[in-house]
Amino acid sequence: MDVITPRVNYGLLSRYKGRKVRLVGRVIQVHILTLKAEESTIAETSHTVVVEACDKGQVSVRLRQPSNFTTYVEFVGRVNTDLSINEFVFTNFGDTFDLDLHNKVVEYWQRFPDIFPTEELP
Amino acid sequence: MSSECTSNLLNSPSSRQITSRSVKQSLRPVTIGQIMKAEEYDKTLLIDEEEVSQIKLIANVCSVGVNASCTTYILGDGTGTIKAKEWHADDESAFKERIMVNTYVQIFGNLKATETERYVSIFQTRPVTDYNELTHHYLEVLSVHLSITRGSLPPPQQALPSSSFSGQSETSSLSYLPYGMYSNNVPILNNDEGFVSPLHKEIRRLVRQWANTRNGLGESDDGMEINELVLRLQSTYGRDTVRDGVQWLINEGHLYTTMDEEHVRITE
Repeated sequence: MDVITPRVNYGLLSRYKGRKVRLVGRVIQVHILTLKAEESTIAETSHTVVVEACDKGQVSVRLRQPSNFTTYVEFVGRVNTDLSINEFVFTNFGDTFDLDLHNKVVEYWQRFPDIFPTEELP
Repeated sequence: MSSECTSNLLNSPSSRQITSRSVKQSLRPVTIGQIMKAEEYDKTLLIDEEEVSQIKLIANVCSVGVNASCTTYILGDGTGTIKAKEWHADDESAFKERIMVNTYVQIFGNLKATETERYVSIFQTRPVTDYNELTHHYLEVLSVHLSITRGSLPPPQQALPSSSFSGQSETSSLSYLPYGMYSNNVPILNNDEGFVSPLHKEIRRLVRQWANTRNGLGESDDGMEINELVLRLQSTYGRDTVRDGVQWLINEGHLYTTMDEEHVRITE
């Protein structure tokens, strides 16, 4: 059902391989591949963005399509075994956002399952 | 707001016993996960063994469905998803279009539990534009949870208010300290209302008085007209200041609009 999408930082990704998560980061690099028409069939996973997560670790996010990002972006996506994320949706968080404070939320998310459940309810 | 909601607010036993049921009547910040895990007792939901009815929520809009009588949102905040219904006033359609899928909104509403589902009956929605609010919301939820389950922290250097949030019981005032501190940016003085600004106190007093008078006469209370407030207070504070004051109280959840944007009722 993927109703529950834990907020994570880089350090927590390995715990959530195969799961859908939420990650807020600062955009560092955007790789948008522009392909000629005859090559476009292989463009499926060509667009990626590298973000610095709130614990300063760098995470590669594979995009569904090229998009315009603000400085800070929240991605919802599934964690791959190589700790990259396949994006489902994203939300631009604008150009001012306190990542350090957000990291506190991510840490507390692991400590208070009554408030921040990380496993789906039965 | 629908007439159903209105009459519920007025006629439910709890609203007649505001002092004894103050915990239920306070506005609690929650996550959707807390709502879904909440124990149900006689159609009311208990979080941390306290009744919760009016809530504040920040969540992402997963879908929006509009029909003639209400707009239904599916909201997700990472801890779960929940349905939220906003009943339409007659000419609200233009206002509704502000809420888009995959944006974050702040919701003030009433928690409803039926046999088959739990949902939020919305008083007010507001798009989130500064996403630090999201961080703040989660931390506030945690802070309230901890102060209820473990007692509040000793006050920091700043004089923490020992008075309550709008004159409620001690338990609920403790839960709302961070909220009050945040919204005012100044410590709340130890006075009757817990509000620093004389204007804010005056507005709340008049709105409450309006409701009490209406209820006393057995008339229905559709909320006090904002123009009425402006008329009564503009000689002291000026027209724009009064309107700004009302808007601030609405934004902070101390007042909420009723049948239209021009009528307000107090959040107790």
